[in-house]
Amino acid sequence: MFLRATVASLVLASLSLSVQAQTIRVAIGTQDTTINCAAGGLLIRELGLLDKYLPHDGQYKDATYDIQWKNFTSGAPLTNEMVAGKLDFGAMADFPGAFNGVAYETAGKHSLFISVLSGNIKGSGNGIVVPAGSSAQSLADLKGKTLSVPFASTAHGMLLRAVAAQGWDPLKDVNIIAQAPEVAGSALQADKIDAHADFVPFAELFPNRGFARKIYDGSQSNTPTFHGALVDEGYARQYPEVVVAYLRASIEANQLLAAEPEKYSELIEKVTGVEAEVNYLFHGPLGVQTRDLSWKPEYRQAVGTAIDTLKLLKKADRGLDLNTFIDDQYIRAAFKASGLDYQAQLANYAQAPLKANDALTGKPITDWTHVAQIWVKGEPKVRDYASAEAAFSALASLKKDGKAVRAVYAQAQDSGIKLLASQAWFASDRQGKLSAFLLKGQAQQFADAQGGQVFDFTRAGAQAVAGR
Amino acid sequence: MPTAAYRWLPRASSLLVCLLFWQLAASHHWNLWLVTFANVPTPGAVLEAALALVDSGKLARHLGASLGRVFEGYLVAVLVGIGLGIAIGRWKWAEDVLLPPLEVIRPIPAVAWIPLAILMFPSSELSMVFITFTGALFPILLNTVHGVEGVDPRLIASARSLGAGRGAILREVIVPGAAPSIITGLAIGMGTSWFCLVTAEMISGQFGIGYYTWESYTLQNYADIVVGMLLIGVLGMGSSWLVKRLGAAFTPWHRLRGKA
Repeated sequence: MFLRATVASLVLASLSLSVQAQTIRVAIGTQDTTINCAAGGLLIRELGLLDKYLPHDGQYKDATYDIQWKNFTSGAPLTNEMVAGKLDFGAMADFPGAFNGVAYETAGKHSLFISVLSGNIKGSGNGIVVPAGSSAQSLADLKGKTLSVPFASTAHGMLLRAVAAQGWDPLKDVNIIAQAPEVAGSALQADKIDAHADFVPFAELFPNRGFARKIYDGSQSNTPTFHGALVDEGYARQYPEVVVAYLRASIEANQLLAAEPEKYSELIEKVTGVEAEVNYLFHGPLGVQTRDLSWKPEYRQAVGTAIDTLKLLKKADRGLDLNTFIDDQYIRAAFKASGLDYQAQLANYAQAPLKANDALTGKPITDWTHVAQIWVKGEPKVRDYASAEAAFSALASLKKDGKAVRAVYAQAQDSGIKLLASQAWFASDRQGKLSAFLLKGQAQQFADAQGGQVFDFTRAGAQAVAGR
Repeated sequence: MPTAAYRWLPRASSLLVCLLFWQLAASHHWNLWLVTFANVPTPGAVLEAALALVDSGKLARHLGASLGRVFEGYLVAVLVGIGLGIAIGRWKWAEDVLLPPLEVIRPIPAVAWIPLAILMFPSSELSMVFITFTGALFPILLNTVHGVEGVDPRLIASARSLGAGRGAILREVIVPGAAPSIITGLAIGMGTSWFCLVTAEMISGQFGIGYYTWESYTLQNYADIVVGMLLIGVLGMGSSWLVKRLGAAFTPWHRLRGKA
């Protein structure tokens, strides 16, 4: 009798407790290895940023939060769990994001694309690589060959555009097959595939691992690409302040990445195993993608293109209303709450700037087109140099001192993105000044026009050191 | 056999009841506490997806590719599994030398083999065949070992006393004695080979029922996924049935006792 009374009172107590103190789930699906999503997932989780912004006033006075994190290697399973109601937020690229919208509609619900996390309006981030031993130097060399790409990914969209730009029929002139990055990595190593198109970070990661060479940058196709965050519409309408809190956390994560790219590149390496020097390619100044959380028209267009492409491939039969699917009210509110100007960011197309002095001369670097950088092993900061020549002579003395180098970077003369210098091509002008290029053909063109020569990394290094 | 004819009735009705349950659960979005059917496509939607697959003109290539991969892997597994199984079941030294490494490899799931399968074999096609092979091998191997070890030693002793040599004992006593168990292994192996198909065809990139299912997942087409699942189920069931039938034809001396 006594026991029963105790149990009953306990049950009553717990019931009244749950009425007063509501527990709100914040379940976020991330893609840790897709390292440009870091501001929307990995960094928020690792640094506990969400707790700082979750509301505790008004209707949230007595709320407690149940924050759940789940990591995925692609957007599809993430969408799967969102549609099933197991996740509230998810980070993914334009193409899988469009699928997310379509899958929600099919299930009679809606999702909202609430922010951009990182992207490039020209398409850098996506790229095409060939096995390291391949003779191909550009996409044009791949006619009649077998190319693989993760199906229906942002890289797939880029590849179709790139193939069309060559004047090729994607069904006849090349054999495009589907391959996830996990599978493609092995296939490239075993020389089973002529080329592979992929998204962040694989077009940089595979070359950095030494078994592949990048021969095409997404910017050549001029197809905007980005990764962004989505939320379940029902959830967003019920807890708009939580959505804003999540975006404020991602704004802070973004600022941290911009302020200390080396430090957070190391953190991303610790969590994902993707080398810090690859992460720095994206998160460092003058990086492959722009640090941008705003809904630029180009990014809206990227979602539209994704939907159109999917319909063209007969892989989706319903369209999406972009005006309701892309919802910028939350990111606007988050900018405001964080004291930032959304309109200003919307107009800002610049890469994260390089504010640094030349490591040799100590003079501030003003011309970014010839910048080269060296990440010396064991050093917390990347060394910046105003010119490739300066970097090469520094590299020579580093080698003499027996210091190990993690990576050498150069800025592509044409697209302005950061390159792994060891795989870049260098062209001199009449004065012998070196400019860096992704492709041999681009370098050759520049050298021909400027009366210079083309060098690969090793020869450019020897040339620069000898010329001093 | 007239008895067999009317047994089809309950079998067909059982399938129909399952179908009916699926239709009701999916169309009414049943939420059964632990499982919910809220987001499960209905049989109608799946049928539509199946018709779309037929219309796409790719079904034959999908089926051809998958059947080829499963049967090639399976055939190799039959040869290797029965060969090794007889050796292990018959000779202690073979058991000591061969079984330990095989037992280490046995629990490794097919999906874990993907990277090595790509690296080790000269073509993607062979990588996939290798994965369906790993799926089929162990049931065949273990059932063969079991069958061979289960042969009555008195039979072997009598054959030997009648002057049978090693080869004759193997041919006339061991293999026929182990055959029922081997055939069980063959039927199970057929199923487990299909089991590994989706995993194998994650490498495919173009054709195959497993690839179709996997691609549908990437595209979030749940109805197509179910089409792929059902195709694999039906093909697996059909080929297992075929193996059992063939097995029964080859072992006329062995008849299962009837059930109540």
